[in-house]
Amino acid sequence: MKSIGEILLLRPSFIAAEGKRDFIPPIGSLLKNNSKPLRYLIVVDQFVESRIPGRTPAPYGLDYGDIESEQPQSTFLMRWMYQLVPVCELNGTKYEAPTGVPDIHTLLYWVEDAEFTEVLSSSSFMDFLFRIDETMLPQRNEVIMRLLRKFIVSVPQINRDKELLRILTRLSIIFRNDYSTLKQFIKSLEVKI
Amino acid sequence: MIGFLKSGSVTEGFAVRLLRDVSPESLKIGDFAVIEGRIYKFFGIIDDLRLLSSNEDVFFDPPETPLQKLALSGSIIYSEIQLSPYVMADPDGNLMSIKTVPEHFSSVRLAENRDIELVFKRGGKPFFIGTPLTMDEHIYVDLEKLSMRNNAIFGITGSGKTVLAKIVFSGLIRNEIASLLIFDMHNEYGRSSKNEEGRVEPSLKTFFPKNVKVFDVAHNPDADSIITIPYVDVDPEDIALTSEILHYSEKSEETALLVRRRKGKEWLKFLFSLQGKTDEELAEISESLGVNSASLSALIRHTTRLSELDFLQDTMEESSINQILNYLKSGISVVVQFSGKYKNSALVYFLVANIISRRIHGKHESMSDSELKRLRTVIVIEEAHKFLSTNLKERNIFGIIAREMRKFNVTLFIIDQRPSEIDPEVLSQVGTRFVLQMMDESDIDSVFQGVGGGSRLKKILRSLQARESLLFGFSVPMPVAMRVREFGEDFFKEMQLNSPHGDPNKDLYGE
Repeated sequence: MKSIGEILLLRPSFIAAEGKRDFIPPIGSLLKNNSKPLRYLIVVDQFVESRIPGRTPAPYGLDYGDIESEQPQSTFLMRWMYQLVPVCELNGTKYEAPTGVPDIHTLLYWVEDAEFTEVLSSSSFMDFLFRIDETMLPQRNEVIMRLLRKFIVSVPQINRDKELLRILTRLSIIFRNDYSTLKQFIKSLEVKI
Repeated sequence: MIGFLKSGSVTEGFAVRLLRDVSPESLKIGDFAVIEGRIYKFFGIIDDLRLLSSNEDVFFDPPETPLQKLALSGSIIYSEIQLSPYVMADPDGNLMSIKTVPEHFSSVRLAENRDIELVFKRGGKPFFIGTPLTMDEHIYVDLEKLSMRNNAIFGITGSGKTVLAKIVFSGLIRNEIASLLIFDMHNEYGRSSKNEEGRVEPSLKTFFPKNVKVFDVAHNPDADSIITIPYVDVDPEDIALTSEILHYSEKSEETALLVRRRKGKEWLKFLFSLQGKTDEELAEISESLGVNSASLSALIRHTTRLSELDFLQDTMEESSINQILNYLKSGISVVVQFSGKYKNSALVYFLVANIISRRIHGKHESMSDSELKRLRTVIVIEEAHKFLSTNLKERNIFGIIAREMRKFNVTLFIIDQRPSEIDPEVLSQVGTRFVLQMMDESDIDSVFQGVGGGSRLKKILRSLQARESLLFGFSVPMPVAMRVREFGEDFFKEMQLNSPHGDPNKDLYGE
């Protein structure tokens, strides 16, 4: 299994990992570590920053493709990062709230198809998704929408309606007092059918 | 399972939230439902269905696709039923009135055949009367209990009163529960009758030729006897009930009583003999009788129509009333019909019904307890509101029978379409009610007056169609909305054991 990144920033309420240049997991991706406890984390943001504190990139006036060949140091000095939020931990067969943050330098991996389906099929996982504090992470709903869309698309066509209905039903309970958000979710997910 | 218990009380009934995949359209008012409590099963009737929402915003931006609608079902939009509980059963199947409530989230399901059987097929003499509106299981009525109290069938014309009555009466006769005395205003309970489509159907005499005798006030080939009532068998009180038709005042009633006091049993013959007398002659007679001359003239005038009735005769032959009483005493039911020129004659119907019923009243009152034990009589009257109106309260034999005769084993079976015109005191004495379609609000109100949970039952009543009936009261453990059983081949076959040919249709139409 090939790692997709490594956690390098651990601040209160902020976890970020460095990915490979030109490829960092899309927002809404579900990742996991490879040690105990097994943690599931969701990618909530992406950013690029300088490896040298205080250094700001200089303008070169070149197209992006030309920068690498003409000014290669500029890309060496940058790192491609993504922000993560822990969703839950797997304890035996049970999903539980995260008990802490992952260690620094934790390697991250894709949650592969079968596992992805299994995790997303769990209603408790869905509940943990919506426990992510929206005041701390205003884009929470958008992130979750992307994750759910990815899941729906991954479900075989024959089961897709059933799964979509299950998710929407769960969402309609979670958002029973916030109809406009619920409607956004419904529209967003339905498009993918 | 259709849902779970959300809230409620013993007195107000329960709110049951439907599961999201249960469409409210799959349920109907009047359906039986069972709440599975931790200890008890609670049996009730759905008396309302509601569409609700947890967030009104949904109506400003309604779901646009079936999937969206489905997704919102059960959370943002949901349905509830209102369930009125009537009886509960312990784990051994013993029924009792509702004394407690099931826990929150108790599961609720539609009743199954075993539930209907548990509730309705119990002791006594159960008789298959119909099926729940959405099931095929049989609903039974306890005929023993039914005959112990006054009963009523209410419904508008065409709602199925006659068919239901024929079924109930057949049950009472076949099971030898009681002797029926049926005042058959429209000639439907004798040998045959025409149904709504004009088809001839067998009736009680065809089903039970030996146990039913048909009397008629006029010539009728289907009748066993023509009624003859000697003048001497008529009392002034017998005529009182027809006072409205005869334009008979209270003063005339008093005068009639005075004439009877002077002339004894010959009073009516005497009265008829005065027709055509001059005023002077009448004045003289009045003086000798000690009555007011004008009042006597009025009484003669008012009773003239009675002298034209063929079955009232100046004879010393045995009155048909005695024959009828003897039949009833020996367990044979009697259908009194009104054919020929007396068809649809309110005067004759009221007069004959009143005379015979008054005699039964007198007879039963004078019987010993051991005699009464063997004898149970059910008097059936149609257009009952005309007999039992509040105006006639004081002199009404049927009111007296309804109120006081249960202890003498005589009960009334009322068939009527205007219950609002029946004396409420009499209505309160009705033990079991079959209520078919009704339209008039005042009639509906009066049917449910004084009935626990009446307002809930009204909702069920409004949902009934022809041949459907709400049944509640003494002879059933809980109210039930039912489809009256088919009055067709199966029923005829069930009754054919009593027919000499073994087939009522052969009796009716010949071989």
